[in-house]
Amino acid sequence: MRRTLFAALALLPATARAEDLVVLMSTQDVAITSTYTGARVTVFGMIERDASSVSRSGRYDVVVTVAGPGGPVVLREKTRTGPLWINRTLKRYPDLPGFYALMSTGPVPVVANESARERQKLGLGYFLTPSPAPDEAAEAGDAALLRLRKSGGLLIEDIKGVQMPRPNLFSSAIPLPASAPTGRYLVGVTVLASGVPLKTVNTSFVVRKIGFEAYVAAAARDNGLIYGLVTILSAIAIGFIGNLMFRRD
Amino acid sequence: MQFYLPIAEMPVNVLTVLGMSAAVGFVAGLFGVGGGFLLTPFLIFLGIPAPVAVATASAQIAASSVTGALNAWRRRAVDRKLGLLLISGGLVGTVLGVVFFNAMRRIGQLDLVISLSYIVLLVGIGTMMLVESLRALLRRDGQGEGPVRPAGSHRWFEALPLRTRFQQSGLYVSVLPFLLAGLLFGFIGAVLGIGGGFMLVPALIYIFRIPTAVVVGTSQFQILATMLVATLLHSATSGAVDIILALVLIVGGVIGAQMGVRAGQNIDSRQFRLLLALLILAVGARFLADILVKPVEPFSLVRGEVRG
Repeated sequence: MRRTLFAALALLPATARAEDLVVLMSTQDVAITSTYTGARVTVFGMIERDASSVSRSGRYDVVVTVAGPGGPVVLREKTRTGPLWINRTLKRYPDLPGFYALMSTGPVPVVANESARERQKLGLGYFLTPSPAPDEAAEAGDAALLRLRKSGGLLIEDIKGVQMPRPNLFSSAIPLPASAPTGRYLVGVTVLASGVPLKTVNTSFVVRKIGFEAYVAAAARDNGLIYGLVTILSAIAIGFIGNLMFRRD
Repeated sequence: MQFYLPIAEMPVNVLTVLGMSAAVGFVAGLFGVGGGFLLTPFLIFLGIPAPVAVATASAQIAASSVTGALNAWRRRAVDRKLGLLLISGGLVGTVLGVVFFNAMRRIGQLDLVISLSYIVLLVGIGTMMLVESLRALLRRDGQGEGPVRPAGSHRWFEALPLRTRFQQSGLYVSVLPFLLAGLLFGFIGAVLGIGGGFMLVPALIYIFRIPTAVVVGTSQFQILATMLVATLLHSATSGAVDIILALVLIVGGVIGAQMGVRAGQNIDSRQFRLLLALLILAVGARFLADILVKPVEPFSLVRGEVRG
């Protein structure tokens, strides 16, 4: 169950820049409940232009990045050992976002110039830092990692992922698979024109277990012994009830 | 009907899990076994993380052995002294098993240990059962089942010290083999998420020639005790027991087992033992294929293992 309240996140103070950017998100709190099968977080935005500023002839571009909570990831590869295919650690990534989405109004190299891409960290190259000394195995590993993450819906690159129904209005729906990790997701919204960034707004949302699911997970983690006792007592109780129900005398 | 499992951290279809546990329960009821050796692999094949599958299956096995234990107690088909010895050994084995389980999990080799053990276990037991049931089918003249041992043949365990009398089982032998058997099956059970009845029962029948009813009843108590302790220890040490998954499995298992027991009363057990043997071999083959066949996707990602 997602909160449908729209939360105003960032109303920015007026700056020297001509453009201002207002970002709203469909939710700040993605709740994992017993019926959770993933969620969709939508980012809405409006580009406001100062009345006194010169009018811009070109259209705006928008890039939205979403980075999930990071952590160490191990990439394993099955290799042949005699007759057996056995998993071996191929590469360790000490800190990799558990989810990453790059949504834009067009191909990122087109909508953002190089300095903008670098400064705002736009592009999959900033999701996966290239190895300092690249070799064939490491590159194959990186390619496999990207492929696995993409097929699991945990890495999204969508050059049509931001829609602009009006020249100054945009929205982007980010699909979160059920396997996306819990924690804080950082959202970066950048408005560009002719490849030059005009304005960036950073915001975030949280994916967390709530209610019964959160209670069970916390109990298992913090009170393992009591949790275990409850489990075995319910096991005995159900076994006993089953025995009574189906008793043949 | 999707349901999010809080510990396995994934949504599953409740009806799939319920149907699967009912099917395993049916097989278990039909053959009078616990079914853990099928349940845990099926959970792993469904995509449940292996540690969660093992730890959670132990709760289901405990629940399903409650019925068997109660019925055996009512029928007085329990050798208390034998049960006590098996359980004593079993508790030590369970503790050692959980310690080993967590150590393997820490160094990231638990999945390999589990699949290799299942291969050895399922292929070994499956082959033995297949041979035995084929023999029984060929020997259709209705002779008594079980191996015919010439009277007075030497039995190795008769030489062991600490002999005692087992009233119900009609034995006067050493306590050591039973303590050891309890220890071994307790250990295997805690690591693999199985009760071990399908190994313990034939061992007691064929090696010690204890009456089948007593063996089955007594082993139910051993399984109940060790699986309860295994569930508790897994919960307390690794928190890998998913209580929601466990409840679904238990309900499905209880229902399936009752249907299995009923169906078992009107069928030719020899033909069904052949089917069980083939089923066990099929599950073993599935594990074997995982490490023998060139994988379509050789790469896999796991969360960084906890170290220290």
